[in-house]
Amino acid sequence: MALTSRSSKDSANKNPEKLAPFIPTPERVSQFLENMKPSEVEAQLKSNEGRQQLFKTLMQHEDHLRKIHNFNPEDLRKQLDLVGETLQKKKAFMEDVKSPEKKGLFRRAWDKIKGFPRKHPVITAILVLAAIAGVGAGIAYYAGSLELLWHKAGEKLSLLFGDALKTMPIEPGSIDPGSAVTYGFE
Amino acid sequence: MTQAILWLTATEQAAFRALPPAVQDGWQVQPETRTYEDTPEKRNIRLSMVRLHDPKLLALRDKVQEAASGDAAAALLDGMDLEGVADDDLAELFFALGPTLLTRLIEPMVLEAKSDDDLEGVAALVTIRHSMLSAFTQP
Repeated sequence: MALTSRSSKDSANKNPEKLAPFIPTPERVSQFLENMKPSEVEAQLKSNEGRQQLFKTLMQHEDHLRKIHNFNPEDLRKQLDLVGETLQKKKAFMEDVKSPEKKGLFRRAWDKIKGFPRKHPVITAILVLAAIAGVGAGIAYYAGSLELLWHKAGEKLSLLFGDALKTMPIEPGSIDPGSAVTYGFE
Repeated sequence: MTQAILWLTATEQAAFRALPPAVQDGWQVQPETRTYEDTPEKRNIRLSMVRLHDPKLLALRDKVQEAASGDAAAALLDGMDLEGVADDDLAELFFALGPTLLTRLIEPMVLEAKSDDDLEGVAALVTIRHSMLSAFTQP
């Protein structure tokens, strides 16, 4: 398996309830199944047949998944469907906001909101997301400081996010940002 | 002069109509009729799929990881400036945020708008939300 030694060490003896759920993003599945590139996983996630095939492939490693994740096969089916749908939505969104009439949209949005007080919920929300976005080495190790950050960021974020960030899956291992699936932004 | 468009929910339209006429002038309101049922699970998946490339954001993430306490991590956010961050990375973060949370941020902005400048910020955000809802509700 394409697991880092750090993730194996830390996950080996953990209570299953303490383990993060397995979120089958292209990068995570590729990391888990050494013989599949993220682009190949993404291609399979696009169709029902592909997702069924991915499910079968991942279930061949059910024992290992249960050791390192809080894993439930029924959740996996649902997650594969959700990830596949989300990939399509993200692609549609990214392509739409790249259209010529929307050039610079995010720059304009940010230029307007950056003048808000530093603790404005919009700015805080964006920054917290940036801080915890699930890319890069050892995000599991964010868990401690993230919990503290979460509480510190305050009630406004609680009103905005509810428990969404508290239940964010924390996944061990490293992902090279350069290998991630992108949508043509250069 | 072409009127700028504001895609507003029913609640936001009511808030807009309560603004002084001089502030409303020059803006064209279109109803935002698309809705999306977001859930923590869907948000988690979107968050898992965020891919950042801007060195400034990657540096922020790394510093938060190294922060010894919540106070230290929060201080990093307080001192953080997204000036110059690439549009594609901002798009990634807005996508993770999603339309429902974006609406919670937009509503008070409309209520508190006092100038065209304020509404220009609203316009950019509702355009982002409109694109998001179009993508999220496609079959």
